[in-house]
Amino acid sequence: MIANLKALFSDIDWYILGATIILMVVGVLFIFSSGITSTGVVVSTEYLRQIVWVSVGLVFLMLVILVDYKRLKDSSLAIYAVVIVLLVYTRLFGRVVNGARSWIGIGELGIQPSEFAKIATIFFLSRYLEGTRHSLPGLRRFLGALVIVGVPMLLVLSQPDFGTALVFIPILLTMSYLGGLERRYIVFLLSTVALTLVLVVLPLWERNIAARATGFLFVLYEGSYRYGILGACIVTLGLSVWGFLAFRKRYYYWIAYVFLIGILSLVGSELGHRVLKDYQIMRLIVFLDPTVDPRGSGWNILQSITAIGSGGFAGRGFLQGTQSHYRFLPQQSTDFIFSILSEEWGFLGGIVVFGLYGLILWRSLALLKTVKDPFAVGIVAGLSGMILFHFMINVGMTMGIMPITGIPLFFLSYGGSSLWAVLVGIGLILGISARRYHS
Amino acid sequence: MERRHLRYWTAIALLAAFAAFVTARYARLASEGPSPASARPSEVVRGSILDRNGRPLAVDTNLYNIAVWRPELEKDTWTEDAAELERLLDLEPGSVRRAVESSRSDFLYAVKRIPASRAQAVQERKRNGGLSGFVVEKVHGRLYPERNLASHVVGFVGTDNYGLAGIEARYEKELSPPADPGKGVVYGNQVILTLDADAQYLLEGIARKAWQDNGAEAVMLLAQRASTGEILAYVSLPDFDPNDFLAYPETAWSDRPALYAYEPGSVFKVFSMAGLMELGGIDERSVFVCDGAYEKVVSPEETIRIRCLGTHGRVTVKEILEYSCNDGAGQASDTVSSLDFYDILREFGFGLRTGLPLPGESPGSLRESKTWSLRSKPTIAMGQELLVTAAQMTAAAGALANGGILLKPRLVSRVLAPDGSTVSEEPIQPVRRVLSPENTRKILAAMEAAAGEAGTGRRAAISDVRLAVKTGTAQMIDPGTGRYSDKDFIASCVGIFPADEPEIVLYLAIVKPRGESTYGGRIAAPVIREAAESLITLYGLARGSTPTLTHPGRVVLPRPGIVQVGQTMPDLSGTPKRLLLPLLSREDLEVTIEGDGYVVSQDPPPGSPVSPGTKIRLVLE
Repeated sequence: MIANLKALFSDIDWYILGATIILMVVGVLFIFSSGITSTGVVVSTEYLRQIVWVSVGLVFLMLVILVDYKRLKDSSLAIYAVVIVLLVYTRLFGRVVNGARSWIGIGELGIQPSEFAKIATIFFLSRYLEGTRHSLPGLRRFLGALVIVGVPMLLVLSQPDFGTALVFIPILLTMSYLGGLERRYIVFLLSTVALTLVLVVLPLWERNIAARATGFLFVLYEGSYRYGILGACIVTLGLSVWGFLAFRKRYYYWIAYVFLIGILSLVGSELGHRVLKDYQIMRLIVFLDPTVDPRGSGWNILQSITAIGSGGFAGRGFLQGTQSHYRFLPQQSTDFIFSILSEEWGFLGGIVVFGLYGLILWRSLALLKTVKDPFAVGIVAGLSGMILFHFMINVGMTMGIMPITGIPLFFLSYGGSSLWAVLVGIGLILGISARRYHS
Repeated sequence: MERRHLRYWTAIALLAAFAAFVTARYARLASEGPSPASARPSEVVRGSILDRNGRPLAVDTNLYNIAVWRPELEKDTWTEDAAELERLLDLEPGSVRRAVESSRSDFLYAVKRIPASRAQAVQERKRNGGLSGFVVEKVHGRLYPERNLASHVVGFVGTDNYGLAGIEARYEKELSPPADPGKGVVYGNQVILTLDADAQYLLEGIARKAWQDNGAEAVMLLAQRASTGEILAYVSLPDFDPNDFLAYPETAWSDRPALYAYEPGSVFKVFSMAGLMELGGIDERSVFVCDGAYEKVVSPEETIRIRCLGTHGRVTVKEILEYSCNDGAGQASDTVSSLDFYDILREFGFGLRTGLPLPGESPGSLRESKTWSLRSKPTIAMGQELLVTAAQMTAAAGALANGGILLKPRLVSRVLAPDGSTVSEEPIQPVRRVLSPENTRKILAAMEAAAGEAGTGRRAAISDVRLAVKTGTAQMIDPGTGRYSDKDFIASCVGIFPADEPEIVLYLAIVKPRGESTYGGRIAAPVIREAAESLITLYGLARGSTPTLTHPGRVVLPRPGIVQVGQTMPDLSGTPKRLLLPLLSREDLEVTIEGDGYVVSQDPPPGSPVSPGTKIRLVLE
């Protein structure tokens, strides 16, 4: 047992663990910085709580390393089921924070089950993809994966937490892609999601950002035209399905493929317009031109860009930022922590954070090449996809190149649930890495 | 295996490309430095809205928000601070405390848009080190010094100083240009209305009394200058105080004269009769016989029958208007085709927006003649089966008062730049000639008869000014039953004076009066008289009994000269002190001035010789 532990210890990927710890320390520093006013008064004790969460999270991480992930394989369905139940419970009885019913807990203590749902989904999806590798035909396997990811995603979407729900899509894409699902299904999924998003934001984009009529595009969202197009798509789909069944010609298949994407996107965007309020959609596209609403949805982006610009190359120095200490930045300890860091440590500091993230991802991707077990490949692929997506969206958002979706920057942002979830994920990666040569 | 590798490297390539993109963007942002746009937010000072005489109806002012920044609240004593704030700001005790306790946010507003005088007390207290965690924040706010006056025209702004109603909304771009970070403070243009605050005040008072006396749902009263189309008063009740519009129900915000469409009733007969005369269907000598009901056999089985209020016997246009004879009006309408009748009513502007610069004006409703039933033409001639707005009725009456030419009603006379130069001017805009001057005179003469002893508008009559008038009592459709209600009416009255040379058009509508009477002749006509009386006095219009003074229109005021004392002493009595100052600088005279005001006595008396060294004593009061 002790010998085993020793071996395990020596096999741990210290790069990943080291980068994780450094990032968390930086996070605590800037959560501290975000809680200080211009007069030097400490107005927030968030940093103390973050230290507690980091410490507890590290314990979780160690425990996860110690448990052999293969032993958990058989309980993956049970874990997934528990999380789904928690999500349903949250949806019904959770506490509303920032407009989403996303918290459960007692008194001041609470967690966001949606953060853990991501990990559990990755775990179970990996199990599913591994188990069905040879037994299921491509389409059924793809649909199965879609259901596994779709259930928690829709539950999170109904909270409504659009940003967190969105993260399930890259998880599904990365895992399907590296898990060997046929490419046309992945392209199908990607096109449908992309087209749906475009159709959802199109009317507001045209009205507020482009501020001009863009030719014929209105037919895609205006009342009767829209239904006309939908009807035409359905007819074409029906004809091509019939053609395929009757003549077995390949091109009928692809015509049906394209039109099904169109139909699903039209229906999806219709639902999107019913569920999302205009201001929520505006938050998604305002990054294209934040000046159209500088006091409203564009405010965060403009302030964040100003913070990055004011930091310059080397930064203004720790605790010297003005954007944060005069409280211009919203959610400065969570969503916009990277802006504070950029202001106080400058481009150099930002590059260090990039580098640390890059190290974690590079080591994880390198691990993918050496791991043989498809179950482990799935887990590492899903986790890397998730971490990368969070990083992309969050950092991109502070620079005004990504929509504002309110998802945290892992390791740095204030918050216990997302930190613990990602530390569990890192623990899984480290465990897999340490055991990769065990058979 | 091969496939897995391909996928693996594709993923790596995508990742690398994205990383390069983000880093490049990051480097660019970091090297650009802070953008000036967000570093120094530009301020926009919203332009004022003034009445025709330059009296401010809406001005920009500094208001203050009191915010709470929870982390800086004193942990143990903040409730006392909150209580103190409530005392300083005269708020309901406990309201600030409750607001802080019920919010989960670190930053919240305790109270918004309070005047400087109130905020000063809070700032004073903060300077002495108190009220930690309560922040005073300066914002631009709108002040409406005349409160309810012309509130529907002026409109109001939201908390972010953005026009939400009335001129404030319609002239948003003029009043509030986009912020320009280069300039710092940007000033908006001023909008000068055609409204006369004095006339508006008088008519609001009169209308309010009518509103209360009749227990009516709403009252509208408009006054328009006949020759220019300028609206002098635009009263709509219920009204509201735009400083605090949220305290009023939304029904009070409704700009009824432009938005509310209703069946006009008998007042409309002036337009239908004028139109019929213009079309040549009738003239002032045409005679119809009123037997108590309009009847027309349209087929062997069907006869149309519309009751008249009385049996008026032989009637001409004059009597039709004087007694408001339905039968006569219906028969008169039979002299022209539906299409012609529709066209001429359209020319009066019915069914079309008048073009008032207020948001969301209703066009009313005048159906096209091809959709008319056999009853439509006579019914419309009596003022039913079409919907009008008070603005349309006033504008159309304006055509009668303006020799037959319809003018576009004007509420805004010009827009001025912040430095006072004219940006744009709203000229008089003739829309079209509807009637010949001759027919106009005939209709006005008939309307004068309606103000006569036997006319329905006799209660509007003024003893010494010729007034053309027409009253009406319109039934209203009960939305519940879809039939005419037996208790809901609109009593209305139009007045044009002086009838021989019209200057002012007045239109009044009382919606759903609940008093003893609901008849336009009984409750609307006296209000028109009162309104006309007050405007005649305000504008000094000629009255029959008062002698009029012709005047070149220029008053020459003698310019006070500077006091000069030469060889003899001038008569200085009545000279203001200000003009005596040059005397004090005379070295050869000893001048003493006692008291303030104007010279009442002087020593030496006027005409006395003055020589160097003379002592002059002036007493002022």
